[in-house]
Amino acid sequence: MKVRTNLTGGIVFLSFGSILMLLLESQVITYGKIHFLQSAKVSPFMAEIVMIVGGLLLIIQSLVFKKEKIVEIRWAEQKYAAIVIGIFALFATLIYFIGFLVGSIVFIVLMSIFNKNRNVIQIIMLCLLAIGIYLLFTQVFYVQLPTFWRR
Amino acid sequence: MFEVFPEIVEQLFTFTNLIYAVGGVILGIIIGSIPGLTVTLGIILLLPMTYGMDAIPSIVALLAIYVGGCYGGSISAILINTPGTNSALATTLDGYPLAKSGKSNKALSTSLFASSLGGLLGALILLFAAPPIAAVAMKFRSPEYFSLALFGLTVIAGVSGDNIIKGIISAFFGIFIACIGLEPLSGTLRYTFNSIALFGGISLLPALIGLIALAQVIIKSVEEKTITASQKKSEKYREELADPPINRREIRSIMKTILVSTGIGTIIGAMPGAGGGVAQFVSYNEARRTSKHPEEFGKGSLEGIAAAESSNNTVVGSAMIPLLTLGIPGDGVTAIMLGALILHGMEPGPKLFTDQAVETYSIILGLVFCNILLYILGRAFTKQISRVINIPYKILGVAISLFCFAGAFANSGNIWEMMLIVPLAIAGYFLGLLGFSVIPMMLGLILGPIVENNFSRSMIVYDNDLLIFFKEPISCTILIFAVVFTILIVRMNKQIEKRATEQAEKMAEE
Repeated sequence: MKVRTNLTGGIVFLSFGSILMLLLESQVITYGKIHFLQSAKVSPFMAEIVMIVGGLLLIIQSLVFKKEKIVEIRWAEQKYAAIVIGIFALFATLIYFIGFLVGSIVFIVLMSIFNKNRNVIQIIMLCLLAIGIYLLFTQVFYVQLPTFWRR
Repeated sequence: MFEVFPEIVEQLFTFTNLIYAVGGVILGIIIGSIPGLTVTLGIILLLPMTYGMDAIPSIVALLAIYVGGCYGGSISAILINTPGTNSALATTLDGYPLAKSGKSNKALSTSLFASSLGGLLGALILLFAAPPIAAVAMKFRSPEYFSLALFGLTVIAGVSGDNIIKGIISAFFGIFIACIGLEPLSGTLRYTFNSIALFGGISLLPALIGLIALAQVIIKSVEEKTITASQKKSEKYREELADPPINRREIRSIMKTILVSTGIGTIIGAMPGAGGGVAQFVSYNEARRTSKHPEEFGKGSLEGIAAAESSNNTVVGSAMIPLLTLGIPGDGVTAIMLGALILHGMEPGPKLFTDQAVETYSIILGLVFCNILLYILGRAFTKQISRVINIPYKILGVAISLFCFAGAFANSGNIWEMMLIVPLAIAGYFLGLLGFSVIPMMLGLILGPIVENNFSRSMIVYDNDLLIFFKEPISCTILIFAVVFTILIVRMNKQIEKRATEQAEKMAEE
């Protein structure tokens, strides 16, 4: 599928900026009499304005000036991306439920299946690396990583 | 500096700092030498590990990675015609032809010598140029700081890719992400959607890990899956580096080139948005223009390698000048360094040289020290490290992911922050597909709170006068400079892009 990146990006940020602008009053509540320029609203307001105006400019660039960068998005590639993202999401969930160490081993196995990596030595090396990272953080840098007995 | 010199020596020259500096330089060379791994990524991955450490060893270790990475990029550029980092692109022009003629070791030793000397001179320039600049900047108030932070955002012009509008949107998207959570001045909650997980906002480190590091793993993993077997095979490197290294006569012949390139690297590195990528090509062209043997350029000229490598390593020191004195990052890597300094309780700006003089001078001297280490370690380990180029991404990707998740959790010990890196990686991946660079986003994330803080202070002090930024002469001058620099950098980048495309086409033909 061929995607017109300026047009698509423009629509995405025009919509995103507009939605955030509509939410500004309900999501940034200031109390008392305070000038807008001194309030907590000014920064997100500016960011939203730039997203809206920038989005519009990208759409104009694409439709009026015909300045466009077309990218071919292949579903086969996006399928791989979706699988990697799914494995990441699963890894994050596993860390929460069974801890970093066990979660890492499951993650390494899943990524090896994804990469069709049947080299057992490489898989064992990666598992040792996971243990090494765990020990590095917990024993050297004194940062506790989650374990299944302590979340 | 001389008043605090005994304290600097006491704090800097410790065994622990030496270990961190050695480890950082070696890690930097390894990361830089692997195509697809960047210095930015290396620093992001190491940053969580520095939490439990003091500011000096942490920043010295991160700078060591930066120094090592700049040289490391030339290893794969010379050996397999694929630059490990963007700033090593010009090195391929002469490095690879020289390696093809059986002089890999000569090319690598030239690169190492030029990198170390250029880096060392850049660090010394930082040491002597930064304090006077900081002394001038001491007179700055909130309008000037606001203008300076805006000036810092001109980096966007240099890192936006082919569309500056996308770069600006990306930066303000980063500023928006930085707005989420509790606003520090008034205590107002912003865009938390009543979720406790968002009350504290999105911390800088998980955002960097998700948007840059993990998104990069997705991109590279997909690339690896789709790359053909024949392409993978051709990348394998096997060579013994048995030829003699650069000799004294050759060193003398490239000294003038190194000194000129160091000057160019210093000026370009101190400009926001330019960085090593621009400096290498400007220096290379200047070296060819003034060389006695211009016909050798592109065919394995030692001057060509020296020009590219000395200038990109000089940038490490010179990019730290605006960062430490004014709080303006010169490029993507120094933007992360700004974040790292803030995380370690140091606020870059002129006060750094008076309030935290010991730490600041220790870091600068640490950079000098890292460049000396680079030469020693480069000579000892380049041969071994060059084997790392062959490590497949299916191994590296998994290893990087493990560091990403561990690092994101270590940031605050909050499991939600660690989980947040997955949606951020998805956002980074899809925005990348649409041509939005994540580097401006990162700049927005880091500079956003500084811009906001100084804007709010200016509005309070100057009674909501928006024109104050133009009424104050220094602030107005900085804003004019910001506009001039943006135009200049856009023009320069177009020329560099043209040159890089030509080089990429040449590499593809070969």
